[in-house]
Amino acid sequence: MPTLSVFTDVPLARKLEGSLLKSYKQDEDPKKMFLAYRVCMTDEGHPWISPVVNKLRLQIAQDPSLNYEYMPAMGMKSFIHASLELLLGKHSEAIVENRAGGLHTVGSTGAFQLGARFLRTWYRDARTIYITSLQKELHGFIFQDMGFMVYEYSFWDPKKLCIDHSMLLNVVEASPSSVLVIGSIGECNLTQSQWAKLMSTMKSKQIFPFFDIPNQGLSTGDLDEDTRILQSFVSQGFEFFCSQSLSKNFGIYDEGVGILVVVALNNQHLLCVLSQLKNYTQALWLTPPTTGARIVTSILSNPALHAEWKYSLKEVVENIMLIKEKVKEKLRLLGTPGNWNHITAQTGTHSYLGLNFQQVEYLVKKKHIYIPKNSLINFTCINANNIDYITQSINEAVLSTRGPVKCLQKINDL
Amino acid sequence: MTDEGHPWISPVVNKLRLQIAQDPSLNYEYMPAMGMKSFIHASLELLLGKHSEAIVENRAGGLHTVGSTGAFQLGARFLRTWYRDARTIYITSLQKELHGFIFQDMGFMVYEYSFWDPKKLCIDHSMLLNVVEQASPSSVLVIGSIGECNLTQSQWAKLMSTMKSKQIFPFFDIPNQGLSTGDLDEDTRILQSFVSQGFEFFCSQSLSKNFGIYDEGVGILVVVALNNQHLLCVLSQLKNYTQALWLTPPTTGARIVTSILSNPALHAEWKYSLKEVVENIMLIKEKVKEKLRLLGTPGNWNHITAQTGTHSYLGLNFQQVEYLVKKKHIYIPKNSLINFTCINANNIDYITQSINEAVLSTRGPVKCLQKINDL
Repeated sequence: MPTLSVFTDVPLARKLEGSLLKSYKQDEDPKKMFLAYRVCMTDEGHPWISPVVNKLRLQIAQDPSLNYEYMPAMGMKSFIHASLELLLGKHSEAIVENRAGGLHTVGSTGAFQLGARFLRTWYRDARTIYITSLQKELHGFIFQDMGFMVYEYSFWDPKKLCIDHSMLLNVVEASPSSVLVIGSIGECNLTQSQWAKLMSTMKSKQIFPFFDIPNQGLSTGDLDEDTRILQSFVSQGFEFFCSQSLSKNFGIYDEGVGILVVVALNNQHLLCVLSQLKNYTQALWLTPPTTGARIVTSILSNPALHAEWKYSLKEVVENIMLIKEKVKEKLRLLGTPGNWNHITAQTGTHSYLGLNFQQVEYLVKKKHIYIPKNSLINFTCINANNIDYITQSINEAVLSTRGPVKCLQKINDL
Repeated sequence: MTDEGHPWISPVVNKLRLQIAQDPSLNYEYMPAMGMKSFIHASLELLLGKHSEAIVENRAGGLHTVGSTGAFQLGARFLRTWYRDARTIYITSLQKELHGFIFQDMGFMVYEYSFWDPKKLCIDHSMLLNVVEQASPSSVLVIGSIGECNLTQSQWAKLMSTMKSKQIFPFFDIPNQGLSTGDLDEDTRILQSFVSQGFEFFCSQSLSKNFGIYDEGVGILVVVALNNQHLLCVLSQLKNYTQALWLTPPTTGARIVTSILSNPALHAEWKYSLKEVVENIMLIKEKVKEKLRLLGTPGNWNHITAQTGTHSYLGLNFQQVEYLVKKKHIYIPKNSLINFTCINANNIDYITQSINEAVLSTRGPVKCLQKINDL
């Protein structure tokens, strides 16, 4: 036996998985529910898959013309092309001028991995990165590994129970030349002039934008609307990265359909950047997995399927709005103190309930409803079966603990 | 490659793709970070043998990676962090091209070695032993192409004891199980010895080439430890790395492999398809040797049939290789290591004639000159 084993001193690694999910799994109460899944759920409690996707899986498997060879390192050209058009719009000047490109990555994690490596090597001045709390959990450590200082920010103002529109501006004003990860652009809801101010500040301070678009189409139900701001950045002559993930809006979770999109100032820059990124992929995964890419490409390139898919997204978004209205209405009928308009004011699949820590703890510990401390939940997890239990529990939570400041005021006004 | 010049795919695989797509019970959720349990389990059994003491004692495990590149990426990261004494790595020339830079990126000194002796035109059986004797203590040895090594029992025993005394960590690379000898167990027999000799090691197991699933990342980083506790700790560290690299591995390839390996009928069909490929390769090699003999090409071409596996050395020197590339538009690497499945009924005559010309028109290998003198 060897006297010194390599493995012997290796400790058990600290789990990166959320402790909320862990607690939920260990809970034996039959009424338990988890409202913080990242993906859209169906009424039966399964991850949502666009109906078009299921059709396509079968079709692709039956296609005799496909040869399953090694893919080029950057991924299927057609996949990248279709996804770029989806993200930036077919007539985007970046696409027309051939200064937008991308690489197929293994999910958004792969995209951030690639982007972070690139920035570490080629943008040495940037040592800090600003990232939303949501994404920090998933991707923060990738940047930490690369040696960046990671600062988080959040759009949600827990006191006022609303989106703080100026948060992004504040972050940008306060930071030196660094990297800004902009996700949830649907949530930001800045006005035109606020965006303009943001962009000029970013330019003058050389803050590099790294967008995160995991949910195109699921914010407003309109694919173009959800990425309109990217088009502004393009026309304002910005260079940026974007991690585009197509898992959640297609319902392809197990196949790594991510893209690191690169928008440069001219074609030559683009080619150089892509070549560097491609070298990284050779050390990371050599060639990306294709099944998901095939499905997406087939859907996006076929006008009928594309329309079917768009429609399925609209359905999801309408359903979310319906659920939110119902939740708001039930809370009103129960006479729950407080103003619940913020629920319907937010767009997208995940929105803040607007509960304080004590109320959240009540829900988790007393009612076995697992939601994160900031009360950001996935509204597709609420359906006809559980909405009454959930709204009643929220009602109890608010009544039994000190309600939010707003709600106290309302009681005093009565 | 097939005779039509396409990448080979085991017929079982095509069948399965259709079956899986039609399966209504599959829900395509996010997979666990380490990959499908059943996939890893099935692949471990394939690699080490169902009754391997490592599996029975629960000290062998693995993670589904995106290809062998992903496996090396994970393994290299781990070694850089947890085996700080090791600063050098010895890797075969074949693999250096693909994976050498992964280790270089991590800060290792990379040294290459090759089994092929270009002067004697044969596998140098003692090469691996030499490497290990000269290696600095506490380094990492990447052992690939174990089919090529062809060491005797006692040579392996000597190798293992030297590795133990110098604390050289083995990192196996198995991209071709079943395509070396045609026998799945035979191709990995040496791993079982390392297991019973109480070694800890990594193995990058890639199932792309022997199934024919190239575009789906079917790799595994196999970990064999000394006990279950070590295994769990190591796996947990590796799992954290995957969360930064790809979060969850792609499943289509894994599903196909698992279905085939778990179903005895499909498993047998697949094994048979591998044997067919290997027999075909042997046939081609015999034909090439025979045609060269008939053409009267100087030299001894036995080394072609003496080597097992899909890739073998032709045994040409640099000038002959250059002749083939430049004059005959036959592209082979400088060390004349070629993929024999690329040779088929359509091109074998052109190829053998070209080799003949190349040898005749340049100064032939030492062996061949001797033969001419003997005539």
